[in-house]
Amino acid sequence: MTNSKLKHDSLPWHLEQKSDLVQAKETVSFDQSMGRIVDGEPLPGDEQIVIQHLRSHPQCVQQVECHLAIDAMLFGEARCDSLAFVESVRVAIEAEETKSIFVRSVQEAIFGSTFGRSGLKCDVGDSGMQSKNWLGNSVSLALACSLLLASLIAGGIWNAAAIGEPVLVEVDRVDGTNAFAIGDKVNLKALVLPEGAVDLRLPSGVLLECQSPLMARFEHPMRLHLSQGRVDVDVGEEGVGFTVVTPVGEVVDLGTRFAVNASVDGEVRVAVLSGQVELRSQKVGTVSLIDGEAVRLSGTQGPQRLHSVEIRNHGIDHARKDSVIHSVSDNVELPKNRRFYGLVPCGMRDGVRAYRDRKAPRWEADPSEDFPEGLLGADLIQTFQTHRLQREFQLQFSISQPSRVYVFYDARYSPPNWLTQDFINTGIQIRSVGWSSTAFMTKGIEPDAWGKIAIPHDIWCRDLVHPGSVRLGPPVLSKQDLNTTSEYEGVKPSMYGIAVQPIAPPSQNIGKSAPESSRVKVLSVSVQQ
Amino acid sequence: MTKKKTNTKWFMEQVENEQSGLKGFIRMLGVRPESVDDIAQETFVIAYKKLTMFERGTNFGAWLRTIARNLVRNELRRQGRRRVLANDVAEFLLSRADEKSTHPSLEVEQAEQHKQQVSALRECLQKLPERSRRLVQQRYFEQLSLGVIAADEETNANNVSQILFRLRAALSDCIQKQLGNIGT
Repeated sequence: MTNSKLKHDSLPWHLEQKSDLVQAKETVSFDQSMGRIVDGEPLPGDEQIVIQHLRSHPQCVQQVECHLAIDAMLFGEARCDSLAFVESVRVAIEAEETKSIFVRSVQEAIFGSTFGRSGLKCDVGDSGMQSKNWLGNSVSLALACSLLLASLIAGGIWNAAAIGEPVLVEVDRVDGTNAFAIGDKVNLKALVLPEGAVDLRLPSGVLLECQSPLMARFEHPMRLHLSQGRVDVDVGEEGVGFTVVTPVGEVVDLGTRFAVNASVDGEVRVAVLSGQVELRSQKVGTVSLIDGEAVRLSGTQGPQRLHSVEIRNHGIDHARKDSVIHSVSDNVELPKNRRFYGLVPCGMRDGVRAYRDRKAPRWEADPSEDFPEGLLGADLIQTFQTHRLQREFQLQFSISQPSRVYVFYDARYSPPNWLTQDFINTGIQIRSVGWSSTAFMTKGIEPDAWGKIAIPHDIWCRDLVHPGSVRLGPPVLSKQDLNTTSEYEGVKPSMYGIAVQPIAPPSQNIGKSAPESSRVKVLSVSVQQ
Repeated sequence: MTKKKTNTKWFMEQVENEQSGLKGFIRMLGVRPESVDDIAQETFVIAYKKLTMFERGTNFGAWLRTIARNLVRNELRRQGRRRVLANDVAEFLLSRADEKSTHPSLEVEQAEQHKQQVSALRECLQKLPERSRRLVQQRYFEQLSLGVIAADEETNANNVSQILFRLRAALSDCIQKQLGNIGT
């Protein structure tokens, strides 16, 4: 009867099978939970599942470590910013050294160079009591001064005027101020700019575009304290680690171009125009921002998304300086969403950057056509691809004067109802050019005769004869629209582009004369009241 | 060159050599990806301040990892905003890291392997099929959330997480094979 005899260490066959199934199910559950934890988006209960599994299968911890290690290496490859990181460590160490020197100098100023040494002489007699009182008083004094010192350091005022060195700057550009002239070389410690704008180049090659009203001070060539105003920083290759210190935190460059704006009410706005920065604040710790992200924060509130940022375009010489577009925003409320819309006053031209989250694609005319005249010098809204597939997406902006609003919609797809109802197809196209051959948005598009990969966009437009707000919908078709089309429509159009051109009142605008230059094409559109 | 400048120069060379491995180690303790650089920088600053306590000739990387473990341990004790995800899991990983630290030979092996692994990873990424490369691009290079990737791929976030899980496992296998081939 040995065949039917069970071994002590095995279960009956049906129980073994059930045990295998249960184990397999547990393993799948562990893998899923662990995967979500590694991805940083765990569901409720995931942590318990993983911990329970690790306690009963401790060998599985190697699997967790392996996934985290691969994850870390992939992030490392993606960011490829080792030089920038090394530089940020160097800057942090220097800041610590400077603070130590300041603390020692303040201590010596308060207590003299003998601070820390007890060398008091007392008379005999009631000397014991006197010395006790004296020591007690000096302890109180030391405590008071330490508290003062601590508050100074905590408040950042240790970076007071006692610390700082003049920096030799070269003036690259001047606009609207007599304080500087182009080509000037100035030893600058404090910068006060009540009017106009000026571009300053530092010895490290860092370019500061300063916009009034502005108050700032150099701590040293790699560190600028900004009390008020806007500074756009382009660090180039040599200036990695350049830091802008604001009332609410430090913005450390990690190889980038960024803008910092400090207002008198204590709010600071930071936008990354290329590359990456770290925003360091005592309140919220460190926040990393990448190209296309912007936040605003204050002493009382942590970083919040900044919906739009004006992008300076000094290369454009245009009679009109101010944008007619205001208050660009969308309805995407995702917690990690920090994308901003770039507003480029008078920025629309052949070859301008199209999107804030894609460096390469530019708006260009079809090679066989001229760039549409009506678009030249229009205010441009640089949108981004990130949320283009959200069916409930809405974008809105307001305009301050009568204007023609242009929308560049992906010509590969049928336009959505919100576009066809309010806008007119001009029959003219422009293209977003410069996509990578591996970009999924351009799948199926062959390079043109010049080897470029381009997405064609139909130009739609609409006239607004009064200032007001404009609301645009998602680039994707709604489910309802999909059901009413006669053929299957791909739901992945590229994000649309937007430009706004101020116009004269309609009675003067209709029947405008032929273009001044034969190099551009006229957009002839009837005006809708 | 003064002694201080010599120390600083030497230290910055160590930062260059160790930063990649240190960041990987910190991530393996369960720190959120966006906070890894922050904790790595704090580790180096503390190490610089305490440089007189380090004995040259001993394992600098191991010393850094001790500092990093303590920083992560402090992070777990914080009441407010934390920079680790899944605290219990991080505790588990931290205690395992503490165990490994008692075996110095394991630490040395880990540091040496890291550079080879990064090199092998680059080779393995080239071998990925198009869809997997696209996911890597979206998740790690464009830093899109699972939800956004899911919308683009016309699936749900859970599926994306599972695909990434399998992708990481596949990359790990590939790296092991690459390292095995290098060894033969």
